[in-house]
Amino acid sequence: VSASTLFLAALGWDLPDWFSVIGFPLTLLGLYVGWRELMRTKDAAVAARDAVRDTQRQLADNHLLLVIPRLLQASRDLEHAVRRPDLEAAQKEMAQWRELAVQVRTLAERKGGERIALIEKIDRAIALIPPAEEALNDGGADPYERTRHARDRIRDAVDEATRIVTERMAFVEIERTSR
Amino acid sequence: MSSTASADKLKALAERLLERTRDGRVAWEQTDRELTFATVLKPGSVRIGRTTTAGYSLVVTNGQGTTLEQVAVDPDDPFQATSTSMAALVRILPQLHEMVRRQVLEVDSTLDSMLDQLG
Repeated sequence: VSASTLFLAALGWDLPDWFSVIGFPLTLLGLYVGWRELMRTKDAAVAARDAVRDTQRQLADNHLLLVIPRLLQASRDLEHAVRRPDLEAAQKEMAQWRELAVQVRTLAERKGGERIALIEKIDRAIALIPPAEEALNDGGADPYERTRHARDRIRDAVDEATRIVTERMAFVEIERTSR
Repeated sequence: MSSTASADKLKALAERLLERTRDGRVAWEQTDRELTFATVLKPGSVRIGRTTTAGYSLVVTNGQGTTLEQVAVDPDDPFQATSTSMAALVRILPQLHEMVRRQVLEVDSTLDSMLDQLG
């Protein structure tokens, strides 16, 4: 079937035939416009979701910066308690440190993968706290030495937390001075 | 330990720990209890210990350090193997403890250094 034959045949088409021929590209155009709108809406939804996620992470980080000083204070109080030595206070402060460390880790996890070093150090410290608590509960002399391993790990976690606060404060200071 | 299911899972955990520790894929560390060692296994941790009263113990804790499961076995107690899983734990825990102790206390490298020094 040649093109001229088709052209001649088209001359004899009825109105519904012509609508079909014109309607097909229009349908394709409609599909394209719909697809583009869908993509635009989807992009907006993704952007909104990303913005919410970023805000949540930022809030978690700000909250983290509020809890970390309490964690540092709890570790200092624990050190003082085992050095005095005050067994009851040491037990209380170790439990307090663990409670705050769990909060800090939860907030650090919300920040995504950026705080992985802190999370790992807190996990190691928390893993060593129950045996140290048992050692304190057993009583006996020298609670400083009897809790040495757990306190070493607590110190590692606290050092990492301090590094985060220092880094964050430096960042805020740079932002402030650059305005 | 509360049930046979728990014993089965603890047995599976102990077997896996034994295998991975032998391969050097699990890092254990000394705790403040003598002859008790811990490793972080997300989302919690595991401790293996040796006590004068209960033989060997395996304790599983969550991310807050709260005990979730624990089992204590005494290889000298013939009545303790109440199930096949418990019988396996009685066999595995002493092996695991010895392997972990040697790893953490660097027993082999210390002996090698001593042998080197003696010539």
